Amino acid sequence: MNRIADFWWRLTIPKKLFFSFALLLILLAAIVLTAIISLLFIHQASDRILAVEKEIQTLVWELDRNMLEARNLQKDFLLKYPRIGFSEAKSEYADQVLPHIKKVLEITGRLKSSTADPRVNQIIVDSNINMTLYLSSAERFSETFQQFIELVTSLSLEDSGLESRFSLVSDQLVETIRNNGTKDMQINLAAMQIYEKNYFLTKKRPYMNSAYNEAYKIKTMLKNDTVSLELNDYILSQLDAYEKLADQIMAINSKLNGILNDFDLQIKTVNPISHALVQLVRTEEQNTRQAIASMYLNSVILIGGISFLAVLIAVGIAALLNKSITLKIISLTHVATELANGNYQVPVDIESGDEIGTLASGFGAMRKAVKNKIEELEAEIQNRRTAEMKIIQLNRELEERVKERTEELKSAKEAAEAANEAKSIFLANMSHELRTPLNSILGYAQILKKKEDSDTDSIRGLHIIENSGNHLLTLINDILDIAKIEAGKLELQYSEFMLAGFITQIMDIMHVRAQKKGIKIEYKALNPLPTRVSGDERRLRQIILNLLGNAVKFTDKGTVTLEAEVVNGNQDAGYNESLIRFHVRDTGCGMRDEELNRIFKKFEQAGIKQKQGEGTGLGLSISRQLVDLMGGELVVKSKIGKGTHFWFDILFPVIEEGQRPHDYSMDIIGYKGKKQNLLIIDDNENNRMFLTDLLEPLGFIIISAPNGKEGIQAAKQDIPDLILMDLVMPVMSGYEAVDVLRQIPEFETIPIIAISASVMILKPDELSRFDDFVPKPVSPITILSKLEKFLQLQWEYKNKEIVSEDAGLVFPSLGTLKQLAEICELYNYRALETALLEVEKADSRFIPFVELIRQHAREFEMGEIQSILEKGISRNNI
Amino acid sequence: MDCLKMKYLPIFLQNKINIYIFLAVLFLLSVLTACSEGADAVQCIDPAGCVQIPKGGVVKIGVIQDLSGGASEYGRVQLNALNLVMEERGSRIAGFPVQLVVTDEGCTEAGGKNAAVQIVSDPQIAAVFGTTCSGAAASAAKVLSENDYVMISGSNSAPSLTSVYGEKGDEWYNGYFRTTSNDSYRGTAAAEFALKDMDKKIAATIDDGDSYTAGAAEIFRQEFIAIGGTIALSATIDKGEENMKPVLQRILNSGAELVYMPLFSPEGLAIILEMKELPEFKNIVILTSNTVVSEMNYDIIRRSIDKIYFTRSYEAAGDAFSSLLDSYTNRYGVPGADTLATAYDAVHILFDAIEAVSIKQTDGSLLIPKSGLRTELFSLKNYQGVSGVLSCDQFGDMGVKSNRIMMLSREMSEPVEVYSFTL
Repeated sequence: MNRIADFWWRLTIPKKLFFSFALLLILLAAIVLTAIISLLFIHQASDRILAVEKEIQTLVWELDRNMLEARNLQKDFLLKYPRIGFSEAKSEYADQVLPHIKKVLEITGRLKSSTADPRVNQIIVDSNINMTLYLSSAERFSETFQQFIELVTSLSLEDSGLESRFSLVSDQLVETIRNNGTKDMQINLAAMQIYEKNYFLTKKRPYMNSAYNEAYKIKTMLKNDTVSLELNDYILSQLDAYEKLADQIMAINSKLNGILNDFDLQIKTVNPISHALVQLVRTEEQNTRQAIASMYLNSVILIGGISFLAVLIAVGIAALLNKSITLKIISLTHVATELANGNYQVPVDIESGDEIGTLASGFGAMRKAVKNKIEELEAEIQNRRTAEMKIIQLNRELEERVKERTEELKSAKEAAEAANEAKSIFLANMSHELRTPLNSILGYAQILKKKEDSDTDSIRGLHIIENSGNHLLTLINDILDIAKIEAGKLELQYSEFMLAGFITQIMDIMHVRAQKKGIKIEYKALNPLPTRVSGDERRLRQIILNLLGNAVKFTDKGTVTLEAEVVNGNQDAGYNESLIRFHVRDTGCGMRDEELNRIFKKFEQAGIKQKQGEGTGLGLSISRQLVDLMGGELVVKSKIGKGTHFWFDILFPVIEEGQRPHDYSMDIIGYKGKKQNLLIIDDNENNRMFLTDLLEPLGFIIISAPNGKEGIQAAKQDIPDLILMDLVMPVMSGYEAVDVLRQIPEFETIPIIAISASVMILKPDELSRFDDFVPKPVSPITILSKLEKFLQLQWEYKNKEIVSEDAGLVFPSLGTLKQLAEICELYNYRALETALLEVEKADSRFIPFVELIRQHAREFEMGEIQSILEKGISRNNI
Repeated sequence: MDCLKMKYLPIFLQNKINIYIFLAVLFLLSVLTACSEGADAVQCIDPAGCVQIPKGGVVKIGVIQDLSGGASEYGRVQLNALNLVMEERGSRIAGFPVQLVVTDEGCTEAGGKNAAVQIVSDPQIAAVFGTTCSGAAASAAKVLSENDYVMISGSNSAPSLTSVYGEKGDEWYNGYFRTTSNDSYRGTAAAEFALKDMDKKIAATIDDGDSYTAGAAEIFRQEFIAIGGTIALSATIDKGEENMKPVLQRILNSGAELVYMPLFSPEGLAIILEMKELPEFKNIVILTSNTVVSEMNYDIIRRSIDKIYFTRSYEAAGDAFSSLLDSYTNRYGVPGADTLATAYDAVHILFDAIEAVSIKQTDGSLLIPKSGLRTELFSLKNYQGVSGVLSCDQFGDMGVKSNRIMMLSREMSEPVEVYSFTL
């Protein structure tokens, strides 16, 4: 055991596992093998035994049947041959006996062979069934029967048999005595015949002995010389023959009787064997089945036992593995855990010759090494901890500083954002607030200039005031644009426009200015341009006009050229785009390189000093930023004395023909249906008047109020169909008023449209309580479109257009021209600009007209404007 | 193994590996010994084979006697004699218990054959004691001899079973032995007595066709004619026949002065009873055999006829025979027959021979060589039996070679010897 234990101790884990699982596998194989062998054994044994049993059973039945048949035939022969004759009986019965006996012998031999199976043989021995006796009896039956047949043949064979011969002798004797004998002889002969017959019937010798005695009497009579000597001798010889044959017959009959007795004895011997065999086979079949069942049960028990043993061994192996591997691993794990928890005093008490032992030794060494290392590390850590404390302190100080700086930056950012917001608001407010008085200043400066009583100095002063005011207005507009761009609140307004018409309008405007300076201005399409594109037409015009304006401004002689070309087109997938490059070239004074770097900066101007004062210095900056917004880049090249070349690329979606938008080119002269009440709430009387003048001629009933409070009262008195409401108003703002109105059931569904110039400071949530919003300056077409939308109006148009033949201008309607003339009379540039915007939006064909007016307005050339307007009115009246 | 006192072990066992080898060899030897336990220690070399009786087995002795036929009286005597011997020998042969396998031959040839067939079907039967009737013996002896069995009879007397006047009998088989006297001597004695002592020149014979009766009648006829007599009639009756008048009338018709009828009791007594009705038979000498005139028939015979002569093969005498008769009577309540002594001697001779040839095996089993047993019986010389001094001749005859004629008359209580013949 110690050797085994030592052997096991030294095994490696893989070998331990190998041995263990090999043992388990062997056990498993043994179980399976045992089960298979047992089942096969049972199967084979059952088959074999049952087959043997079956064979024996069949043989026994066959044996019994043949034996019985042989005996029956033998009996039939015995009974029937005296009646039907020997030959027939022999062929019909006796000859059939021997084949059966032969069969019996053959079967008995096979039976003996079958019962040679030790187990079956023992059963037969145990059951006292004598197969040898059966076989011997069968053989003896055969022999005896053959003897019997021989005897019967000698006795009964027709003609040559003893009985035939005897019958012949007897008949001759009878005939002789009947014919020649005395009466007494005949009487004795008759008696002899009776005894004879009795004998043949009963086979009892006394009858024949009696016959002999009668024969003796006849012989005695013959001795008395009753017949002739010859006859006497003949009868005596016949009687002797008679007796001799009778003796032979009786002797054979005795033998036959003995054989019959023999048959009876044989039957007595064989029958019990036959019956016992049959019974044995039946019993044995049952026993065999029981034995097989028992064998099966034993096999099951055996397999169960082996399985149980295997389970025990498996448990033993598991316990052994548990003890030699698992428990050691657990101990090792415990040690590892303790080590992990810092307990380096934990002992490593694991002894094994396998890997675990090696591992345990390693653990021990590692424990010691780790312990030393940790002590070193602890000392190191202590040092580092001290240093770390210092670092932490420094970090804290740094964090404090960063925090302070962050707070400062945040404050600064917030301040900057607030300042920026304030700046934007300020700029918006200021632009709004500055424009209003500036409109008045400019307007009244023009009114005063037209007064006849004004002296020259006054007119000069008014002219200065007017020019300064216009400059200031332009400056304010540019500043407002810059402010919007910088605040990110400038949104491009995309619309579709005819590119050729657009350029024609621009060229029309610039023609006037170029003519004034005596220079040539021209337009070149470098390749075919798309007919209609989508883009912010107004801002594009602003850019090109700015560039052309500068070019005209800084060119004293030569030519200013506008060129346009399609740089790249994209017509894939049905989406049509064109990258169009615009060039503005002049033959002016040109710029130096350092000037080129400054020209796009705000309030920077380049070029000839004398001309720098003209303009705000914001134009190129605005243009560049607008080009940027449109996705392009404004580029400049210039050479002193040669001129300057600006160009930029803009990608335009190309609009196919037949997709033209709603056309407002026709003048609206009214609307169909009932009269609509409109309430206009605006603190600015001009605005109220503008809207009243715009809408009343179209058939609207206008009610107006200067603030929200009065507006509410007016609304309550006469409930309007729609309310146009300014937002920034004294007493009650538009926001407050709409809140009040919405709480009144009657006004819950009435459309309220906000109108405000404070575009930059509007917030979406503030506008949500309104149905819509219209920015100031109000565009008539915008207002009309809103009314059409909310009041479901159907406009009535006056389809008449006035085209300036001279300048190719298309003039708006007569009403619009008169309205513009009235505004010009008041010198209300703001109103003029507002009106121009409306005209511009109403139909793109009016744009050249609008731009011409606007150009003159910028130059404060009110006279020019009025001249154009008069021309238009006169054309309209024709 | 550490606990073993190594120093007390042999040197070669003081090494552990050697101990394991030693134990393994011991185990193998024990297994081999166990496996060979059932093997024969001595091989049977007898050409006819051996009867092997396992340890604890029994020696089977076949018995073929007439238990239901015409000689059943004698058959029972044979069986009783066997049982007496068994009792004397403690029912053991060679230390093994004896088991008797008893069959009935019915005093017929068929019965004998049938019984013999039954016997030979059991290979465990060592030898056979039988038969009662010679007719049965002839058929049985054939079957038994052919199967290397031996049979010894204390009753058969038919010459054909052994020899007729020193010549092999027609029904002789080499496995057959008998202690009774050969009927050749009976027929010779009867013929000489009839012609010489009784001066009867004309004789008739009656037999029943059985070997014994037919054989004895034939010997008589031959001897009687040979010494100058005439056989007027040779009649045969059937076994079991009751109507004897016709045959008796034939005898009367034949003019016979003497009737020799070596029959068995049933038929013999029937004839004697019929003779009573025929006064003509008062003048005819009736000579029969001891199978008819047995002690139990004395009274019937005395009442039927005035005088009768019968043959008896020997006169068993002496203390041994008296003792045997006493034992028999005490044991079975009836007097023993003439064949008691020969039966008694036959059983002893057979048992002695078996014991003489049997080989007791080391495993306790017993081998009985078959031809060895036959040779042993043939070698019998001067056996001091109850029936006389017996020796076996080459044909199996062991009996005393002498015969006597006895006479029983109405006045006699016991028959008296009137003629004696010894070869």
